[in-house]
Amino acid sequence: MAKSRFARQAQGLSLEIFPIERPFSNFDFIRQRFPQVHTLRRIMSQVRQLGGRTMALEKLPESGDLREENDDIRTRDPAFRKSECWRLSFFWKRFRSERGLASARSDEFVGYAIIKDDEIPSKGRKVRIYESVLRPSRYPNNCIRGMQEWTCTVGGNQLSIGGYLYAQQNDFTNVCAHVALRAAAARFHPDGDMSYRQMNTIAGVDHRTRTVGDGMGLDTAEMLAILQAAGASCFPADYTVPPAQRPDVPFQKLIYGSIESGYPSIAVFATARGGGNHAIPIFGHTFNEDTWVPCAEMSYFRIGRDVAYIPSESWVSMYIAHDDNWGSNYCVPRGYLHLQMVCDRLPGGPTPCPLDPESVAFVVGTFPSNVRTGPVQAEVIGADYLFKMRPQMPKGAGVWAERLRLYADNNLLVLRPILLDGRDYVEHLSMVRDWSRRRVRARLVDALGGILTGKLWMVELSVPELFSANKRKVGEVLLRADVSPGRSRDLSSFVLARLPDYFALYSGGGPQTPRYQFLPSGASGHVELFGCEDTAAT
Amino acid sequence: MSRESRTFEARRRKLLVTMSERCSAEPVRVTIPFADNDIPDFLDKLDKWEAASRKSRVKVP
Repeated sequence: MAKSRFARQAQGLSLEIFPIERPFSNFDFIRQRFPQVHTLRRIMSQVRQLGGRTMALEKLPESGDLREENDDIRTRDPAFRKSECWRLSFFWKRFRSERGLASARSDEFVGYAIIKDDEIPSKGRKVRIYESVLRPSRYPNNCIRGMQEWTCTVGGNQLSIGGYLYAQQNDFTNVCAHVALRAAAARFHPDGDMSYRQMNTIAGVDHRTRTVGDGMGLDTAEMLAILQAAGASCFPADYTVPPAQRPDVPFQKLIYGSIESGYPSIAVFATARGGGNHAIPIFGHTFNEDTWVPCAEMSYFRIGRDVAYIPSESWVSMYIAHDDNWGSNYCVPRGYLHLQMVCDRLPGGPTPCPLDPESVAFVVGTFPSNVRTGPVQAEVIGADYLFKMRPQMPKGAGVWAERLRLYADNNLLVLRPILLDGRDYVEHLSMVRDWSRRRVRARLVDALGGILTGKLWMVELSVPELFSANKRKVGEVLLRADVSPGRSRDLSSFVLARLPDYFALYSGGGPQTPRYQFLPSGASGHVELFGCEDTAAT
Repeated sequence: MSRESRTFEARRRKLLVTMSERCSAEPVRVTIPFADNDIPDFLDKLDKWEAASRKSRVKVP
């Protein structure tokens, strides 16, 4: 039999089938079979929550990826001999035989976890979750975009599952940075997954002259190089830079810009005193339409005196993330991660507060490789266009022109940046309807179809009540994502804008006095947000 | 102007022409200068910080 490249696709050497509904005890099973793997309790508790009914347990042969890791462990410790691996697969379907498993479908597959047990003489026994993908919870307010499909072979039956891959470090040939990178890099890598050896080769970790584990890991420059090698374009933000030397950009904006567009982000934060930094992949969020946060003054994003608005990420309640120490698909409260407070009472002027060390140190947002404008730049440039265009809307633009003026005067406009393809925008426009159920004119949408190509930033414009409760907007601006924005305002990235009742198209005039043509769009007032088509309240 | 920029300019022009042709109503033409605000300085500061962040070596053990 040919050796499988990935453990998730390997043909099992043995098969046991467990009905896992009550009175089956996850705790008893873990105590009896895998007592060292405390993260399995989190995995199986999610399966319980998802209503899993049957579990298949298979012992696995040494697949290509396992062999690669074992060889690397052996490079570091030549006495390493013993490694065993099991795959636990979870199903909604009830079955008790191989025949029942053989007919299980992907829509009955809840997910899987692969457990690797390594006896490393110089390290001790290390039993961990090598990888796991579970369906995310089905709460309606959970928003996870860009999930990959993972193909597994369980009992000879090929099944697929969507989700972001969770993995634990072995602290010997990979650390938390590696597993966070694996979750993110897989989104871009041409093979659909990136091995730890590939990462270590890029970082120069050869397990002889340079090792990882026991407090040694990667640094953020190496992490960026690894993500870029996988095919990602990275937008990093180093918050260890003193506040006076960087713009006041909340790290939440970078995270949100990535995950709302369907691409993962990585947050690096300091743990309890002396514990060093820890990295986690963030790939989703929960949306709380009743949150108080946007009402608070602190949620205004202000640039100088004249530009202030409410970022749409103010309605994020939790980030959905993996933490290799604890398990997969956790909700991390938005306010729990924070920047280090600055103390101005210490001698020598403002300095990071020594009593507040557990803070975000570094964040990176990831996007496809041809993206040159980041989410913060896109939002700010979009604000620049929209805020200047709004007062110039033609007479007859309807009641929303006046309402927008009132909201703008009170700094209550809401902006939401999202990266999409030109064809996604065209499809979006063809689906949305205004409050009177009128569509954007099909002739105009069709005209866009053959012309809008490549990656675009869409910055949507709304107001708080419309955005949060009805998930609707009054307009948007489209910007090229494949050019570096720089600081000059040369209109080089402006594609088009849509405001209530009108499209706004650039018709020449140069940067100092740009001219626009406003064309009636056919849809009046507000329409659904991108990704929320047909879900608005009626 | 780069070839890519010229292609984009041509595409944007085509967008204007095609959509204007398909719109039965007379377009409203306006001139909208950029606002005099702090956005260019903000983008410049952001650009420099991003460049510095790419070179940072924050340890992740």
